[in-house]
Amino acid sequence: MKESITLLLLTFCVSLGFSQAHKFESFLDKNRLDQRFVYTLEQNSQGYLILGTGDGAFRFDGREFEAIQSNSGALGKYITSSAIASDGSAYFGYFEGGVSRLGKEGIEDFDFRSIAPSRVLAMEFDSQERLWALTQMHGLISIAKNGTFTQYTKELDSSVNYALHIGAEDQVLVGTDLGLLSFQLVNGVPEKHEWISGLDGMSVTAICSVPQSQKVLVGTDDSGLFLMNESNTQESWGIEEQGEDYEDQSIKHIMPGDNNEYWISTNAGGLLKSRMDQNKQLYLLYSFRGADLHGASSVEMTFIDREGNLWVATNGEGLQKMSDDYFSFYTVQSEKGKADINDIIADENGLWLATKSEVLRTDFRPNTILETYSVERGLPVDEYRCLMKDMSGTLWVGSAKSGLFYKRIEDKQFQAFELTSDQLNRRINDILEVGTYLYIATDFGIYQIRQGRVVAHLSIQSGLPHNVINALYLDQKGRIWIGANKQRITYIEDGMIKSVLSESEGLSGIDLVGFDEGRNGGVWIASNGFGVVYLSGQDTLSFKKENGLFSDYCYSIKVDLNGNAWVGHRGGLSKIHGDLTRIERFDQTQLGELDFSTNAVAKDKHNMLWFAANGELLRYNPLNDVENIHAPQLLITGMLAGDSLYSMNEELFLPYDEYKVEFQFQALSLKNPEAVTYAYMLEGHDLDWSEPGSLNKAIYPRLYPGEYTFKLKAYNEDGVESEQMGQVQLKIAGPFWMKWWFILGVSVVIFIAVLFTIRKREEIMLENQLKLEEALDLATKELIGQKELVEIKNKDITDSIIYAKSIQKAMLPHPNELQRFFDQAFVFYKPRDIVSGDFYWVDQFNDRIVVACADCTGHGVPGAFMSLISSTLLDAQANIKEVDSPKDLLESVDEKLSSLLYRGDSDFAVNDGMDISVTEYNLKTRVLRFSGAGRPLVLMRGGEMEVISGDRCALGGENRTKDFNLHTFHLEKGDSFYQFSDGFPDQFGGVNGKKLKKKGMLELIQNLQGKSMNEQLQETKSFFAHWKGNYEQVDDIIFVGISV
Amino acid sequence: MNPYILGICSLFLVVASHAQQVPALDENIPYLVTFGKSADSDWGDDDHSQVFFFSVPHDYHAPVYFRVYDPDCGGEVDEMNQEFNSLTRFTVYGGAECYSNPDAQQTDPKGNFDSGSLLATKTFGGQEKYDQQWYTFGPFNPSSGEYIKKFDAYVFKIICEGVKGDDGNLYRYFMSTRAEENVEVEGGNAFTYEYTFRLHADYRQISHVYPFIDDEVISLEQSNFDWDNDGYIRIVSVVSWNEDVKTSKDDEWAHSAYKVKDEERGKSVDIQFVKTFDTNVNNNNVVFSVRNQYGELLPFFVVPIGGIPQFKGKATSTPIRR
Repeated sequence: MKESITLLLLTFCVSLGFSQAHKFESFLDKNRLDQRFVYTLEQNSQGYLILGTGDGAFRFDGREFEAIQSNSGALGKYITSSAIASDGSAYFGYFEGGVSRLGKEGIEDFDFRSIAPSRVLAMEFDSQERLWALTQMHGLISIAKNGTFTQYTKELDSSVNYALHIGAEDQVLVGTDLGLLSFQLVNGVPEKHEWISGLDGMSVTAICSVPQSQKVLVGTDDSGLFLMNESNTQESWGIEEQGEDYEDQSIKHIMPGDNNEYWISTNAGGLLKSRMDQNKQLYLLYSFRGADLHGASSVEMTFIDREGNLWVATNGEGLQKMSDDYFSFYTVQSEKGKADINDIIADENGLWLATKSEVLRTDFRPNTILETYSVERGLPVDEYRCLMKDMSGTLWVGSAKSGLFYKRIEDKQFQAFELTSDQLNRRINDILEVGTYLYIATDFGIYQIRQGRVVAHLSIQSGLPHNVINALYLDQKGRIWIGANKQRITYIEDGMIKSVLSESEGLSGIDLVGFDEGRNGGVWIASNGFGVVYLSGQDTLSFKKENGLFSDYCYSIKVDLNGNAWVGHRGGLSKIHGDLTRIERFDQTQLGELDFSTNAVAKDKHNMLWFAANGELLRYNPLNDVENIHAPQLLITGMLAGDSLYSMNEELFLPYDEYKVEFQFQALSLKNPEAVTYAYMLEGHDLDWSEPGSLNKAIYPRLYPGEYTFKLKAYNEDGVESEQMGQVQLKIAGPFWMKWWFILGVSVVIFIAVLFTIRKREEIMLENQLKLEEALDLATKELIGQKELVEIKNKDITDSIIYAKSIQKAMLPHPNELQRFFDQAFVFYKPRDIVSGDFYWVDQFNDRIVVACADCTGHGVPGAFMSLISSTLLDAQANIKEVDSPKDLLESVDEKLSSLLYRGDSDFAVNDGMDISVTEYNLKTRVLRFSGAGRPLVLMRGGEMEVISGDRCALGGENRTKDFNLHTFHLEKGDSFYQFSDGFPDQFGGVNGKKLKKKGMLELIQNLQGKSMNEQLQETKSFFAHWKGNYEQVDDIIFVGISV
Repeated sequence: MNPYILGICSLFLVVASHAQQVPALDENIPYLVTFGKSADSDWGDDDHSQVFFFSVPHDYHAPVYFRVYDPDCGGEVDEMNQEFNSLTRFTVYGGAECYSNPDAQQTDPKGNFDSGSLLATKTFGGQEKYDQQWYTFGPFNPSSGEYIKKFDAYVFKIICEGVKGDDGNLYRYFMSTRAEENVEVEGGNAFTYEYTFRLHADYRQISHVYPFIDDEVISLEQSNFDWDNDGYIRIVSVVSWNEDVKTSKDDEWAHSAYKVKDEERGKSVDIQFVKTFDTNVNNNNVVFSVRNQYGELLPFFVVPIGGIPQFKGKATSTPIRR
């Protein structure tokens, strides 16, 4: 018992506690807001933060402060109160009295200083949108919408007034130095005045509605904080004092926040953060003052903007903003001074901290050090590096030089655990519990302990990558990850030491300092020098400074409730989002100067993350780290065209020219203005939206006349798009020649001109038509005359030719002439014109029948002339005695023809001649002799076709001696032979409109076989007609077939 | 304590301090005093109020605080009349007319003596938590004072009023840059037109006030109330030494004139309140003011304008009569 009391005393004697703070960003700076005193805060409909200071009003867009004129000048610059009306107008109350309104219509002053020359301390609107201004010494002033104001001083004529509250049903509460006055507005007139008993004589300085209730909080100067019902009857006010924490506070303002929290501004006690419990009791959470608030202890008021940022107006230290409610900072002070924390673990009841000289236990808030362990409790005189509490509740402490110590639940003192006598092994870096085993990471490998004794020692010899082991981590798959120095990533699985990545895979020389497991089973690994590696299945992802990590040198890592990995660095934190797509960085601005300790991080049962950093504890509350769902408020602020700046209040209509246009805009996000991005499109110019970027202007180097619509979207830090798209119309006038009136005028002129031209042309055309008709009539008459003359002449010529035809016909042997000599024979004779250049010739010389088929040069009349000459020559030469064969006949005729028509180069020379085939058939001997000049003979014997080509020269032409071949055949009965000119093979026709050619001619002859000559003639006629079809006959045709 | 050592210490304090302490070390006045509204004037307070002005240089923009030492009326410091039953109200004023209103520059709390904008007020009874403790008003924006061109400073006014009871509230002021400690505002000053203060019980302590003699002053008329014949009051300047003035008896006023010499203009004069050991009146409170030949009150600056006047002649008598 005595020992227990001693320990208890020891415990609490050395417990000096923590100090805690959120970080407040100060805007007090000559380059930002050089105003130490901020009295009012509002947010207008455009999203600007509106500040009232002793030196006028300012508006803040998240980046810059801009002074705004709030009155005409008569009321001064010293603003003491403000309010925003439902129409967006801002009302300002002044130090010397009076109120001004800054609205769309401009500035309007309500100067009631002649009746109420004292500070306007508060302003509120009633249900009729009537403004009530509370003056310090001269009662209430009501200002109607039309600007008329009325003073009410009943019950307030001798009081000093501080606070004003108008409830939902127009119940008014006025805080004074005499207590709290209640009255009811009836038709805008205060009635039923009543001093609220229980607060008599107190200076009531702040009144605030409790959301979703009929209660108000009433703050006083030095007399406490009270909760009371908002009621009209004395009996039901139910005033309840809210604890001694507020008794000595001079309360200036109360602001409700989220989660039943209240921010209470005090004059000397700084800013109090309180929470109302279910019993409507307000208990103090934190008190911010002094260093927390950059030296401020007097807070005028707080304001929570629509994004949830808490703004603090201080007396003396300007405007401040609480950055990131999810971070809390604790300075740990023990009796040995500011504690430098090496490790943190969390258990059911709170935190355990290992410092350089003590082991401390505290609760989760943490406000008090509950237990302290050091040399007096069995620990060595040493630095304590790591902690671990095993399943049995035994607390293990690893020291820097003295080895391992433990304390069972029932023990009062720590005891040493002898790992080894080797001094090097006594530096303990980490302790891990795996089932019934403990793994102790030292500078000389890993010791495995079970049931109080060392059962194994793992070192390089066992397969560890290095003997210095920084950290150990057990994942859900039972793998023990080993953080070693300057080597590959290694783990123990099923008793085997395995590696994941090695030096050859780019991880050379890294120190692994910490591990944690992601929500999907991947393992996060923090390294000192190589950033963060994430292993998930077969995938390996690396996060480095170049990817957005704060630094490649990491000291601790922990995964939060939402799967985000938090990485501690020197001077900052990185947050790798669980979707692996984004890294957020937190630097000195949000955290102050924090250097995070190696592997000193823990997650408690409330899912809070605790980081140790050079003597401070940083707590991260993921529940407060919510996405900013509030889209930035868009505002197109102006347009620069050339050198002229246009506001958005005017019509953007530019005269004709080409312009360099710059649209200026901004989107207000007071939470993180630097992260706002914009996308825009100029319809009429751009085909698509721009890529989102942070530049708050869009520049178009050259815009031509036309109509454009500039559209703008903005996104906040979390990518939430602005609710409404910004849009502005721009019109650049075209040149005068593109004006409608000009176009219309020109069109009319052109129309008239065209009409005139058409009319004139019609007249001319009509005139010409008449002339033409006359000329046509004349020409027609002349043409008819000529036609008649031509017809007459043509008839004469035709008649002549027809007559010539009869002459030629008379000269040609009759087809029956052949049948006189041969039983079977036919002649297919078809001149192209009336008369023909082709002819056949038959004569009998004793037993010999000579047949010739000739094709004279040309056709028509010239051909006919040639045929007459040639026929005459054949007659003449055939009867010459010396001419005894077709060969002789051809040579003789050729000689005569040449001598007759070709007389050197005489102008009368005619180079005409003829192709001819000549056969001689001996009726007795059945010997057939053949000579050809340019034409063949087709001989059909016994069904077989034999084609005998003629010599390759025609008769006539150049006067030279020609030697023709003579072919002799002995025919049998039934044999037949065929002679023909080139007219038949050269005829175009058939399906493809091509020449029949020699091949087709021979096929015809072949097809004629087996038929009588008469039938062959009919067949030939039919074939020719079919072949030619609609084509013109191209030449004269002679085709002779003879059967013997 | 050895008087020699005490003198050395006093000199050190004088050199070290600048001074928006009221009363200032140079004045060697232990406390200001204001009696409750019901107290008889023979306690040494003719009007149950005291007005003090504080000036903050125009170019000073940081917060200022007005601190009151022992603002309650009770405990060891204050003067009890049978039993403590008094309320004392301290009120800080700023803004237009807080100084420039003529009524504010008078000796009596009449008319618009409380002109200006009320910045803060608090009424103290006998709360133990304030006994011999500092209470801080503020922070105040320097520009919430009234800008007075001739001072090139913003001026604040603190009125202490005995609103109830008959006890004497003894207190001090300090205009500070800090809420929780006394750090003087550089270039700041404090002044009043009528001093109501407690004298030391120790006859060896001499208290001083330093009215400023501007170029238009030809003669002074000093007024003291309820001196109780507790020694003598004399004027010391660069050319005067031991010019005694007429002193008052219990619950009486005494007035006397003093012809200003050319060398004294543009400087402060030192009015010394010298007790004698043979009278040795304890807890003596006195009211003192000075007017010029036009009847206009002259301000007493706690930091003497032009410094503490040093007599340049040869002293012909010791400062303390035995």
